Amino acid sequence: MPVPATQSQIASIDQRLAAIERQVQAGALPLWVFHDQTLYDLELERIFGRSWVFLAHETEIPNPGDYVARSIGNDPFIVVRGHDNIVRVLFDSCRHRGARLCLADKGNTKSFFCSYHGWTYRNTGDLTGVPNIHTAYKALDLKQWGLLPAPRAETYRGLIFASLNPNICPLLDYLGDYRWYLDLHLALSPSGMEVVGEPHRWHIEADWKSGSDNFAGDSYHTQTLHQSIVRLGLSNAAGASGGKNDIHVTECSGHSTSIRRRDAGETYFWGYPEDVYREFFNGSELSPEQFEVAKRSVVYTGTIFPNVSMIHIFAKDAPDNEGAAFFSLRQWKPRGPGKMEAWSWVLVPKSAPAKYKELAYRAAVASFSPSGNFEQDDSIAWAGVSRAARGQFAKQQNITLNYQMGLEGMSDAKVMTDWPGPGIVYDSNLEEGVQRTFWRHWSRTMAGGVYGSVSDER
Amino acid sequence: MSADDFALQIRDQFLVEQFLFQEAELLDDFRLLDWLSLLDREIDYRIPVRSTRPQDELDKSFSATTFHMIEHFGSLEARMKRFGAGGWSEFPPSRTRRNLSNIRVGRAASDRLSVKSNLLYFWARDEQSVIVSAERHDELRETDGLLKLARRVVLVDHTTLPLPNLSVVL
Repeated sequence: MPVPATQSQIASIDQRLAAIERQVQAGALPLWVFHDQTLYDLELERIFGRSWVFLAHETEIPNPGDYVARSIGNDPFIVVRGHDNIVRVLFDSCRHRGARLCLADKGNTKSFFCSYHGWTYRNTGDLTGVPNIHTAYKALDLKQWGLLPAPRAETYRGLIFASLNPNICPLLDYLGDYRWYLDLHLALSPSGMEVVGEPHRWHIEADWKSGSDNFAGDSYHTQTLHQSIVRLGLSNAAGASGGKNDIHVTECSGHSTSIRRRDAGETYFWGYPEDVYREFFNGSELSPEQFEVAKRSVVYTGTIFPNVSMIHIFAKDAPDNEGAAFFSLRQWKPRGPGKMEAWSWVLVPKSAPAKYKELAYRAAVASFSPSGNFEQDDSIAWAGVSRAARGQFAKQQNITLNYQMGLEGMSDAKVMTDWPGPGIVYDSNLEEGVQRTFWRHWSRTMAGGVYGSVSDER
Repeated sequence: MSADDFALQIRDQFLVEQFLFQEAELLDDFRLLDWLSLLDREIDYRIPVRSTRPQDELDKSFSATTFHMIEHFGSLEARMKRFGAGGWSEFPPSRTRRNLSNIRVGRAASDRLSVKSNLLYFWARDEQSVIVSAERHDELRETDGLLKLARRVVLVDHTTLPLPNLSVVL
């Protein structure tokens, strides 16, 4: 078991953290942040204890009584749709002795029963059953002893988030301007998106931040790390960076995005087949500008701070197969310094034909999943970062990594003045402001004081 | 059971074991293209996602809709070829050992054998190593005395996979 950090260790981390935001803006990130016990403990407290954290998608629990077991940081919560059809996020711990109530990852129930002493809670969290209540708990007020809800739980277009921080800003403000981009996916089909089955879950010996950092918009790695995909003809979306239509969205309420696009006038919609996009994407839930961006999009990756990322992409499971476009939400759960549990959900337009959904799911498994031809390679690269970060050298010498791309004199990336969406948007993906956005938000949140949305401060 | 039936069962058991052991050897030796030659062109290969379900929903533990792998011949071929085309996850290859036991053979049809076996898959890369445990449900097709793998469902004993990727098949 890790030993709790001493005050002096925390003070020393705080001192280092204070410098990081400036370092990052200048294109340098200290390597040690990818593997440090004290820092990890502080992340659980200052980030996962204070931010909005993604838990589930509403379509995972469509019926009254449906529940899934999830976590905020390392705290266990049940996300349950009560018999009253209201979705609640309840702490998975009996109020009597603290034992676990939810023994499954997923299921449907009218009530949660504690196997320790038999206290029983309705699927709304209300305490309804206490053995020997009339002789042993004569004065017990059942209303006071229901399951504890997460201090805040809100949804946005099917995404269920919760926060341990009662004072955090509303989820809408936390997502802030980034909703403009999130809607490109979640509102593309007026029917909404639905999760296929259960999420993939797997362990990676890499820090959770590596996942967030990569999906924040690392457009530079695909041409090297994923070169085999292009060689085999499994995707048209992993080519060289620096395409003339590629853009980076930075500083968008603390979140960021990379979008690869087709030429103006072309219709692609991430590679959905014409019969799907003609029938199911009519733009009724989007502005004309958003619809135009969606129309030209080839690949979209993005990260919502702190640890939920997304990708919208076309892939094939075999070179001579049809292939399909799909949307995936992925979460990098902290499980110790340099350790994460990756979760991945595949989403498809709810109204799409069943045959298309199956094709899209196969494309997703073949590209972004524990066996995904793309994702297999990412986990290897990320593991190397934590391995180098954990030792003496990184911290002693304050080794920093190069995050300079796009800074003055480095590339020709320019801020677009005619871009219709929010954020500071660059006309090239040869820049790393997308990742600097993540680290800037991370260092601010770690330094304390800023919970919730960060203004762009242009 | 007649002596003939018994002899036939011994023969089936022997042929299946030899097939599975040879298959495991090819995979563990990273002879992935040779492994493809053991597959029926119509192969259906899948590893369903497993989740912990309550007592009254145990039959839903293995997902009907979601998979760690869901493959046909072409997709398996693409996966194996990727490692000869610069796929970084097996560069250099992981060290693996497929230990098979409890091999149970039944005849499903005159040319079809249905096989259940237990798999303990040792996987190591760099300084990390894990064991993946699973039961395989296979269907082998026999043509001219040669067996080919026509269907495999790998029922893993994990809800969260303990390794960073499933790059080569189980």
